[in-house]
Amino acid sequence: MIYEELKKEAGRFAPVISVERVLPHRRRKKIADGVGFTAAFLALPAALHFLWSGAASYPALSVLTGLFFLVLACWLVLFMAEALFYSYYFRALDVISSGAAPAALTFEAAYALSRLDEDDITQSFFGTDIGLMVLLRLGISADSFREFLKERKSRLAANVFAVESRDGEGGVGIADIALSVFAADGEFAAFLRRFGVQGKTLRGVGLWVERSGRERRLFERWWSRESLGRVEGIGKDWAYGGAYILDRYSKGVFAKGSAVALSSKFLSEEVEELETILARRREANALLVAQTLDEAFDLILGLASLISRGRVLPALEHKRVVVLDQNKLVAITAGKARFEGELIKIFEESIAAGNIILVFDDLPAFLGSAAAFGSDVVSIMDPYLSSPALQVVALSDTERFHRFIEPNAALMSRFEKVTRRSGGEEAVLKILENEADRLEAVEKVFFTYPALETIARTADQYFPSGVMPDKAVDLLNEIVPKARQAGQVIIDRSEVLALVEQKTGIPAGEVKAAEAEKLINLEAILHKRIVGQEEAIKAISNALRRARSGLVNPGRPLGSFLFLGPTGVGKTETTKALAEAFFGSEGKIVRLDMSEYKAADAMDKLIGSFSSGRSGVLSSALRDHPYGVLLLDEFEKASREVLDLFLQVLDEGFFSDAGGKRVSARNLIIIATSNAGADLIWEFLKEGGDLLSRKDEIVDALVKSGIFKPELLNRFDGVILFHPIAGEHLRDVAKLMLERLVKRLQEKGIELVINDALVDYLMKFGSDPKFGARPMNRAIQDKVEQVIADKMIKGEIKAGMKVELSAADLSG
Amino acid sequence: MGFATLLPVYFLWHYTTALRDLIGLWGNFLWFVLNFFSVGLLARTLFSPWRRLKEYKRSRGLDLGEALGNAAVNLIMRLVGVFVRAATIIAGLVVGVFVLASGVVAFFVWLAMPAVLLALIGGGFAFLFQ
Repeated sequence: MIYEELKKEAGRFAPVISVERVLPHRRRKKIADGVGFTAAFLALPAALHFLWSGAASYPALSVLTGLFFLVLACWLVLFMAEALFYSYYFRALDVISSGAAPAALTFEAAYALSRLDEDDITQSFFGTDIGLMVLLRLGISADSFREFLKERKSRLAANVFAVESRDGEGGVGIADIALSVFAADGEFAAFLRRFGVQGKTLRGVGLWVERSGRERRLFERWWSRESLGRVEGIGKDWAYGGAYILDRYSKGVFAKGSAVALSSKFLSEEVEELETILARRREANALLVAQTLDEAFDLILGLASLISRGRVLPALEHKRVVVLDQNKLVAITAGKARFEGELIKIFEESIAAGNIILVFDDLPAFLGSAAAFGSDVVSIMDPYLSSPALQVVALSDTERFHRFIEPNAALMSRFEKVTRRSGGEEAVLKILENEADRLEAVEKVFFTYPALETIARTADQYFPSGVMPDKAVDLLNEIVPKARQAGQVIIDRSEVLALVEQKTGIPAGEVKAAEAEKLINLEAILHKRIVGQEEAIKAISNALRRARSGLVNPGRPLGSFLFLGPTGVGKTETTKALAEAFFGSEGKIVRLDMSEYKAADAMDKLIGSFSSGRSGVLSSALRDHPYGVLLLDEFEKASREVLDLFLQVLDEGFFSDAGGKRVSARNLIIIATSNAGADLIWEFLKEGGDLLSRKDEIVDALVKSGIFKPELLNRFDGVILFHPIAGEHLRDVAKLMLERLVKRLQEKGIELVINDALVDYLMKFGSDPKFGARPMNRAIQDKVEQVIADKMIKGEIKAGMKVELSAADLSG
Repeated sequence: MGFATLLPVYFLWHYTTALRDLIGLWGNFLWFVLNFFSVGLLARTLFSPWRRLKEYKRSRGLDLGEALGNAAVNLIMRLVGVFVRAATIIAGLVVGVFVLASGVVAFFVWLAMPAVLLALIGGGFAFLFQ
């Protein structure tokens, strides 16, 4: 649609826009309040003037009456203007909600268009309140925009400006105008890109700003049927029976539950599924399964909200959703006979009442408690569950569903299962926008759209437990007090990343100068601990830089490497150095000795056992420490099944434990170490030449001998060859190890001098090419430490002394 | 749009769209009253027992005393239902009539509003300079 056509369409809103320009709505309302108050005040003398017979002798009363009339006239004018305004202001709303003939453009768009300067569309559009709001939501300040206006070289004129409606719902909207400016004004587009804004973000912001306006209007219009219909009427349940015993054991349904439940659009599919099941004639029972009970309960809230708004299928109209307080029932009855008696009464009463939807908010726990009483509760419930007169909804989390409910065929046959799904990114963003609007009103903070985008992305990427969008909403709520503590009003991407970093320990925020320096010099930093092993250091440093820059695939682990090489060459040490460099601590390593997982029960030990109910070592470890380094020692010794499990972990970044619950490995750097192929490495070394050039031969040999499948090796980001340590490198290792001892002795006030004699001695007695640096460690312990310890006990070495060991000391 | 062009547009709106809006608003309030007092639902269930309270046959075979007693209790429950529901329906209808009447008044006040405005201005100046 070209500019002229748009302008013509906007003409439909011309009267209200004219009124708005003379006296904007908000100011008009304030003035009307003041004028109304004055009129009420003047009503008294006016009344006296007309009603009191002696009024004629007081001319002032006549003047006040005249003023009253004039003030009342002013108020009436304002009232009529307000009525005109509302008529247009809300009409746009009806067009959208009723699905009537689609409007060519929205009210907000028409209003913004009326303010456009035809010689400079960009400035005049983004200079309006709504345009400025779009910029602020993008995280761009008005000052930055003014700077841009000063520096730009060209202007966007109306004759080359055209707008298309992209979502087609309410016609041309703010998002469409903003996107058209973005497309037509190259300089402005470049300005936005400087802030990392792309067309998709701009569109999201435009839609958000417009939707907020629309929702505000819906809220303002208290006289609409939608608003009036929310007032609960009287006598709705008089045709139904009371449920007095049930009421004693019931919990209320809090219709104002979570933000997720309230934005019913998000869960609409699942709630609709639930609604359809409950509206059936027979066996209208649903089993809601989600990762947690709270998430399953959101569907109950969604249903209760639909019923209270009268937007439900006719079969469910006027129904009461009653949540059974299972703990109370179990605690009060405290015995099989009474428990069963009360339960039967509750069911009978619910059927007699005729309007009860009975909710068991933790079915597995209920079955467990009943079993503890020795009650066969499933058989007691069965006739009621098959009754057409009662609807039952039971909730369970995924894990206990698989363990306790799914195997019970009799129970399963009575329920229809509804699984709560996670939302797509756009749905999550919509919920975050609504929640942000609510928080902004209460907490006086301001969210930028990139902040919400970051929340939506990081919540899924970094917080493996829970489902979306709940965890994103939680993160959004969590950030507010943090920002307020720091005295921040505007919450942008960096605040979100800082919180994520604080919560997970994974560096996620902006790379600051000091960290950038560290990342650039990562090789040198790692070399302070690792001698030689250039290939390994290079590969790991590159992987860390990729992970830190956020370029890694979020659907896979942060990085994964297979370290191949003989023992004692620094594989584990490299892993430790990596954990310290990236996560700031060696404590971030979860270490599993894979030689323990070669027997038939290896999988049960790792991911848990369904039959015994035991949780697995790997699943528990990753749940407790979802962020860090997973070190899999002696990887080749694990059973075939275990290796296949890691095929999935490396590829998709998660696995399912025995209970069917997902365990994420996406925030881990996975390092598998293996001695396999060490013999071959030695052989190649004996033959001489560059070991690295023969890496493919070594890897091929591993595949041929059936140690690793080629697809498993391909899943690793890198297969790194560690060459044996010898000669000068071994000498450096000796020095490094001695330095550690020096540090330990320093704590006791003793200064050990590292001299050639000491290093030579270690090279002589601590050097075994087959075992790399390992014998060196033992030599330091057995010889150097022992000699110093003996001397300390004899009193020859005391705190404050400088110690230098000679060859004689060591051999003696 | 200047004042001179706005004025005819306003008048057109005042006597067409605004009247339609006003009638819509009036309809909303009426709907609300009927919905709030559940008039339709209560009328449909006017003769149902109050809160489904009912006596059931307990003895085996024919027990005339019990049957009569039950019939009496059930009749009373239905009568209680009829009484409470009828009272609510009447209350709803009374409020409804009031809303209906207010709507009629509002309708005519709206029709006369421009004239009232002129009268207020004229009267105001008249009193001021009396």
